[in-house]
Amino acid sequence: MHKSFLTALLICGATLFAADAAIWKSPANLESPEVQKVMQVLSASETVSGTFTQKRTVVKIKRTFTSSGKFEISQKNGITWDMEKPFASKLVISDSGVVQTNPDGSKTEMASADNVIFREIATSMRAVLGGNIAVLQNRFELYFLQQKKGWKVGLVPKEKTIQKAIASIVLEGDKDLKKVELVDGEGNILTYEFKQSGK
Amino acid sequence: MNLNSPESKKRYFNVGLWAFLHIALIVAVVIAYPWKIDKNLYSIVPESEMTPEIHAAENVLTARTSSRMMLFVGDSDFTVAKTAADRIGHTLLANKQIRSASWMVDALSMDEISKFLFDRRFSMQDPAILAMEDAEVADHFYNKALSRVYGAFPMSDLSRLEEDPYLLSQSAQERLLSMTPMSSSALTLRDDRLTVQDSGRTYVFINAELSQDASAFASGDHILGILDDTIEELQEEFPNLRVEKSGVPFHSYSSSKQAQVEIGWISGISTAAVLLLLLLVFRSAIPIVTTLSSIAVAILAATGATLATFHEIHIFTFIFGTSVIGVSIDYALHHFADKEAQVKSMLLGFMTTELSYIALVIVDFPILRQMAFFSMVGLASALLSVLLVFPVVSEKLQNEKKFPLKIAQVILAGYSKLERIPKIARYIIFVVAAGALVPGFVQLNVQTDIRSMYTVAPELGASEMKVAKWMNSGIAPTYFIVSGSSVEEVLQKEETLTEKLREAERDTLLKSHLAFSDFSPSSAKRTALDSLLSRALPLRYKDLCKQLQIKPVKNPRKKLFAAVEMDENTAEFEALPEQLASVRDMLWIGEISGKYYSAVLPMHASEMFNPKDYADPSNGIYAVNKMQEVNSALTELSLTALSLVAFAYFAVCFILSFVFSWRNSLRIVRAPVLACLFTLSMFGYLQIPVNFFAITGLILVLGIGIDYALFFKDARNHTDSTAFAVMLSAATTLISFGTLSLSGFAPVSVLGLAVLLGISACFLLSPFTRD
Repeated sequence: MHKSFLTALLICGATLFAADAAIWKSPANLESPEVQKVMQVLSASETVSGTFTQKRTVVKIKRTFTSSGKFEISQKNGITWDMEKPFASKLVISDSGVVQTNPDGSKTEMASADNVIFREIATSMRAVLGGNIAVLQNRFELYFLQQKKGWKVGLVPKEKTIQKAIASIVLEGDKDLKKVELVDGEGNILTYEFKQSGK
Repeated sequence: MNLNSPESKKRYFNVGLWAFLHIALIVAVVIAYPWKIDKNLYSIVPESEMTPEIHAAENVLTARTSSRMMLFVGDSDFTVAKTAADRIGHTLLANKQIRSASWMVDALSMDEISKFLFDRRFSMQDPAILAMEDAEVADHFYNKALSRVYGAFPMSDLSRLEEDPYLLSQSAQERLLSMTPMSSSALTLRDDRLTVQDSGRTYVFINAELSQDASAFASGDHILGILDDTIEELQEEFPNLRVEKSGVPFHSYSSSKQAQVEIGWISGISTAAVLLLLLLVFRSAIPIVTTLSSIAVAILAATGATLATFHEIHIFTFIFGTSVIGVSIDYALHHFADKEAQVKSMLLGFMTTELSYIALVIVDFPILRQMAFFSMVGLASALLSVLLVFPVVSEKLQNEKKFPLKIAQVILAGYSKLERIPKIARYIIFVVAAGALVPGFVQLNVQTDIRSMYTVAPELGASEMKVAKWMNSGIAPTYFIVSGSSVEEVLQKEETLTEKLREAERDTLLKSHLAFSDFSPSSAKRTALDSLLSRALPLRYKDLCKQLQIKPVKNPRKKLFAAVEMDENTAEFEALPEQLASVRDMLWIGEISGKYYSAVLPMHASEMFNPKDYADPSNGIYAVNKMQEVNSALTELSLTALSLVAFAYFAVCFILSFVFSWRNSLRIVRAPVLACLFTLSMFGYLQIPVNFFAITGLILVLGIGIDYALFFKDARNHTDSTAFAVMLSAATTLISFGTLSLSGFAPVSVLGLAVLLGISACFLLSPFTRD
């Protein structure tokens, strides 16, 4: 058990390094005006919508799956991912639960109370995309890097169990959130690139 | 005194006989070894209408659930909560009375489940797919797989995509995780601990189980006592710390601790009051010491005989055994206080009381039988002491004292005046008095509800409410026990039942259910699922490979989707991942006398859900509501016991008619019978349900109360000293049972109140029996 745990830690460490070494050397000072400004960017609007491209790289099978669609992040209704290509599917993460609509229109519902780990992940994702600083501080180690053309926020979950699913998250942006990169415990990378169309 | 006189020889013979009988009893106790003292609170619960096998299975389940405990250790500072939870957890783990205790979540437990589910990815699918056409099944998994790979925020593990292109293991995992009991709780993970947030505190969850041999009763070295000490120490160190507790062991411990303190106070006060009364009356230590010694010997004899006969004695038998004290003290008081100790009245009183107990021995309820037997032997011993030994003591008290009979004479004069009232007026008074009892009878509620027998301590009650809110488990009061001749048969029957329960869930009668077969299906179901998927999945395999950029394998039906030859199901012994093993331990009852049993628990049932509609007893599927069954069994037992005692009274009346006339026999039984009717009416007026313990009290009233009438009947020319002795007897009984009625422990207070009311009425009515 200890051996596998160490392996997992090594993988996490390696992936953190691979993602972007600089960000992990710069713990966020939540009092700093730059960080405050970024959090405002993330949480300012009631509703943010636009298009996104998702790239999912699976290290073990050396494959990248790309898909794209529309998104809407609403303080009230949660997050809606309306995938259009290559297949239509929809994912809604809200307070009441997670609803996945499959390509054939069938729905898989998961009440938010139904699964501890999924609930943790859903809550974390809502906090990340909604800029909920209190939840983020509670659940993640926060890192911040101010760059010439924008900023980067690094997040590392405090929970080992969550680290299996999300080893780290890096958010990049300027006036808006431009990119989110999630790395899981196996080193697989999930990237979102956003083009916001409305606030 | 001349030792050689016939009188003296007779007395010494009597003492020798008494000693011989008691020594014989001691020998019997030794021969009967091994015996034990049963402290299990559940033993007092009667067997219900369930078959003995189902009852045995139910007992195994109850024993398991009643040993589980949940603790939530909370503080506004999470570090403090963690430290305190660690200390409490280690205290529990270090104690032999604890079978298991856990408070840390293994970060790798998900890996274990993932591997388990990958190996069983076909057989662990939702059985609902068995109702679909092959093509429909293929489409269903095809679309799901695409969603999992290309959908937003994909959480699925794709590392084995080529081996499992439909991501079946992911489907199985989702299904399984949503079914685990912990899934519906408000618990969240924090620092490898399950935690919950409430009112500004973060609580750490500790799950523990008492070992089977841990006592349900509070004692100095009980782990729950040690736990309380640890919590107290922690709260001194961290004043903001709160610990919420839930589980049967806490209730057993708390109630037995409260009962011990209370019984200590009550018995202390009543013993002091009785001793004071006796001291005032006798003004000598000899009758008091002799009386107390005879009671002690009677209790020892009763205990010995019970152990020799039953090889065990239940702790509750001692409570019922207080009747032995009540009656033995009466015999002793009559011996010392009555002018002429009435041997005939004592023998008749003894016989009638014994008959009441014999009626209880007939009732098919082991604990009641044991209690009645205990009392019978105790009384016999007390009577022997009074008849065989007391005369020797009395010799020494001769010429010693005169008793203050003035009060008795005044009271009797009052009764004489009442008796001089013209007959018609007396009848009118009787009719009016009887009429006054009627509204009480109308409001009478003969029912035993064991929930009302126990008042939860406020702090523990508040804890239970909080934990229930956090855990949100919602286990319905009625559950199912499934039986079969093999593991496979039980699992198949469970599957039949769960299919029906899923219909109830669709009709919103239920939110969910917990069944072990959902986690470990029967071989038949596994084979059916394997077979369906091996036919259906190849249908869209090529399309799927194209969309997922996988190189298709040749002959996928054989290489990827081949039905696996299943071994005979050995679910019980299968090495399950920790999370699933805990579900198995909760639901799988196991083998009892060659048959197998499991439990299926409906969760969050609506009021419209009727479990009996889903049971099929002829097919080994039983709906069990322990509480309801116990209540109705206790109510039925109470009524049976009362009917038998009523019958015993007819028998008593019949036997008395050989000694007295029929009219006089009826007058003798009149006092206790009317006293019981008065007590029942008062319970109606007070709106206290007449439960098993109240009826036990009534039986005691009939047994003890008839003696008063008999003594008065046989008083002849010394009614004043008889009245004095009866007064003393009644006073001691009322002190003993009156203090019991003050108990916070409902069964004890109800018993005490019934005897208090009954004996008071009996005492007031019995002088009318005298000639």
